[in-house]
Amino acid sequence: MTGRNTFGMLVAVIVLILVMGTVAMFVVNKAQQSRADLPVIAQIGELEFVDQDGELFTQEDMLGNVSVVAFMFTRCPGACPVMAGYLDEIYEVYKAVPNVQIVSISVDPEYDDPETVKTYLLERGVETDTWVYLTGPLKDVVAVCEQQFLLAAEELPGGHSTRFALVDHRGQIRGYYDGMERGSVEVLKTHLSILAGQIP
Amino acid sequence: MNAFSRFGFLTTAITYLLIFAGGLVRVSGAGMGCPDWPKCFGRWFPPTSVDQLPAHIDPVLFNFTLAWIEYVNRLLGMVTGLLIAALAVWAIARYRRVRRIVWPAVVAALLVAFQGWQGSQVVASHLEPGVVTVHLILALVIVSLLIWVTLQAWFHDNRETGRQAGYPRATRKLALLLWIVALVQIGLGTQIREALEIVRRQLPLATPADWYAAVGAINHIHLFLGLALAGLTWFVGHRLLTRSREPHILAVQSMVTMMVLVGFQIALGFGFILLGIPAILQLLHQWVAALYIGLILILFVATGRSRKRRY
Repeated sequence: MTGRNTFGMLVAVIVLILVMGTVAMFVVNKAQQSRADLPVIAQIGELEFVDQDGELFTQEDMLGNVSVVAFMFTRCPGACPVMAGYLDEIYEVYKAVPNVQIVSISVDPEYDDPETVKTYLLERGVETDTWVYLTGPLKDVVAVCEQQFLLAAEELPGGHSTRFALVDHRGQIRGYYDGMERGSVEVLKTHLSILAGQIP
Repeated sequence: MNAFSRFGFLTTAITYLLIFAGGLVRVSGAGMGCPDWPKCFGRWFPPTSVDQLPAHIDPVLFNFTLAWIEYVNRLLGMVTGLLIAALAVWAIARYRRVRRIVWPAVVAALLVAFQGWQGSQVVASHLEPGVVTVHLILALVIVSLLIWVTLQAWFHDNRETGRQAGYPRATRKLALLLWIVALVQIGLGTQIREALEIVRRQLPLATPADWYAAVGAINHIHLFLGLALAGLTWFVGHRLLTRSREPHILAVQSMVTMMVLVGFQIALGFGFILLGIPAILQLLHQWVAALYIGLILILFVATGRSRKRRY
């Protein structure tokens, strides 16, 4: 009797583990699918700025790369230091990953020029070109911010958006993330890794 | 089995289900599925669409699937907490003078309340690996207390059961040794998991080879100690199954299951090496380890009933 009971119990344990494993597989697949399902919000059109080395940066430089785009300015006392802190983290994690870049766009062209933003990046320890800081005429910045990235650009420079935009390798906006919130930035990193893994 | 022991068994089984659900939250990446606590996006039921989110929460945090995975874990946690509280009240009412039943039941109830709060800290810390480990260890302590309470109550009402059994010399000491080695193994396992999580955050597109390199020597120690634990389990099992006289059924069943589970753990370990640490295998590896710890306790208590001379 003991032998039969024990055998029955063993079969029950093994069936239990297999059933639990199957349920878990279903749930994990569902979770992965739900994360990978990022909407296409808009297509980036033409843009033309100058980077920290004085070189031309256009929409062509977005194609083939996954980009985290942030509107900010170097002498910003309020939100930017928090945003820049998170961008530092993203830079550190992804600087060795090919085809991932951070694109900061200055909303304060009166003060920010290539030399200023280059100094700013160097002070942050940015040594590679995986973080570019763009400058250009204010009207171009406002147009790109409002019409292409669909973000508010009122009362610049102080009133700039604190959202990061995530742009895939085809130049499509795939998400917006609160650049002041740790939780949103963690989601951004997850989505960034998914999109970087999809680059052919 | 009396009604109290049956309820204790049910509570233990549901706690194991909760440990599984907690592991599932981790491996499916749903830990931040509800960014607030105890509510989920400011609601007692997770929202079904972005329109229902409170204004202060970034919509990008909302993922319907992940919110529900985390929510089911919290719901199951609440049910388990209530069951354990009921068990403690019942233990006080029925076994007031039996300290070895009442105290562990009360401690389990206090710990499960603490565990609920600690779960909020897991969310608040944005899934800090060390904080996640504390959550798992607490769960193992709670489930061990429940097993203890259930067995003690059963034996209290069946005083003669298991008394006639005779086990090979030093069986209990060996069971204790298995328990200690298993705890060390679980400790090492949590450290490997922490190292993996940290390296995944730092190198999000890393390959399994990079992960192994980052985890380092602890991985090899875990492997060899695992093989040693399996060997020791089979050795103790073989002795107990071939040399015991009238062994208690719980001793036999727990021992045989442990022998099968260590084999399963080793197969999973090699699965990691071959398949690159898939999430499902991690979850099963952790859950089977939790089952193994519970089974050793059953073996230890059941063999401790014997009043016969050891031989």
